[in-house]
Amino acid sequence: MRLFVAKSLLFIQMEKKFQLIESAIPEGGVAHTLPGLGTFTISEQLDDKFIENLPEKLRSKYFKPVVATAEVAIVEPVTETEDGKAKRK
Amino acid sequence: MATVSFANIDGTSHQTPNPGGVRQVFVAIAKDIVGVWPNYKTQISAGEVTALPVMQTGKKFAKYVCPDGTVDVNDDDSGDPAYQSSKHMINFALAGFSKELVAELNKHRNAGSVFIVEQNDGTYGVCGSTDNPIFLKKSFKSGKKGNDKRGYELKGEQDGFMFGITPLAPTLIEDLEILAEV
Repeated sequence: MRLFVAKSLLFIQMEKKFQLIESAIPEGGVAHTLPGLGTFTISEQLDDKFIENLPEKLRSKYFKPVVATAEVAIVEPVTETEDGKAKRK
Repeated sequence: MATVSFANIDGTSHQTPNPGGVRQVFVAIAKDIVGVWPNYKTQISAGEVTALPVMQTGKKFAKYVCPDGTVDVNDDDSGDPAYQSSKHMINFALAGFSKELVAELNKHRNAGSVFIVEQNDGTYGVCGSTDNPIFLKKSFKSGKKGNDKRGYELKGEQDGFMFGITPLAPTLIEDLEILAEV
């Protein structure tokens, strides 16, 4: 009889810190200008660090923070019986 | 009539850089803006424009990208005492010759505009107003040989203003909507 113990697995998916609020973008798109930052078009291509540097009013108008999503897979320890079938311990 | 007395002011730019030149040019046709902007009586206070224009639905300021060192805005007070007023002027260049440039500049024909420019120190100034807009006149030069400058020179001026080129309040700039870049 052999004992198999599976490990618990945890995946955290967080590719970007901010998500574009599509409904906040007017038809045809929109750009803004800021001293020191130049003119930039609001899009999901903007880098997280750039978005972080935007004034709060502008950032919250077009972007919302991405909440980390976690996928957890826990496999219970099992035992293998003599006939080769596994059963829960 | 009450007199507004003079105040002390330091005009030496002491220990602060003071670069000349304009970094960005934004333009809107006056008819794309609702009402009078900037309104001298209600939207200019303490030496700055205190409100953004209300745009017609879907309209935004456009950005003209000009060759380095080709943009300037000027104002000029003129008139004898008791008759003084201000004149606004803008000059810039657009290099090249293309159907896109021709089509864009044709929109200025007999159509007045209002400009917002970012100067090299990061301050934004307003040139023109919707009730007294700037009419651009273009001049194209092909150049005679390879290293001559080929392109357009644009000049616009308007007099009869109650105010000179006036800074746009810094807190308003982030709310200014501009056409998306393609």
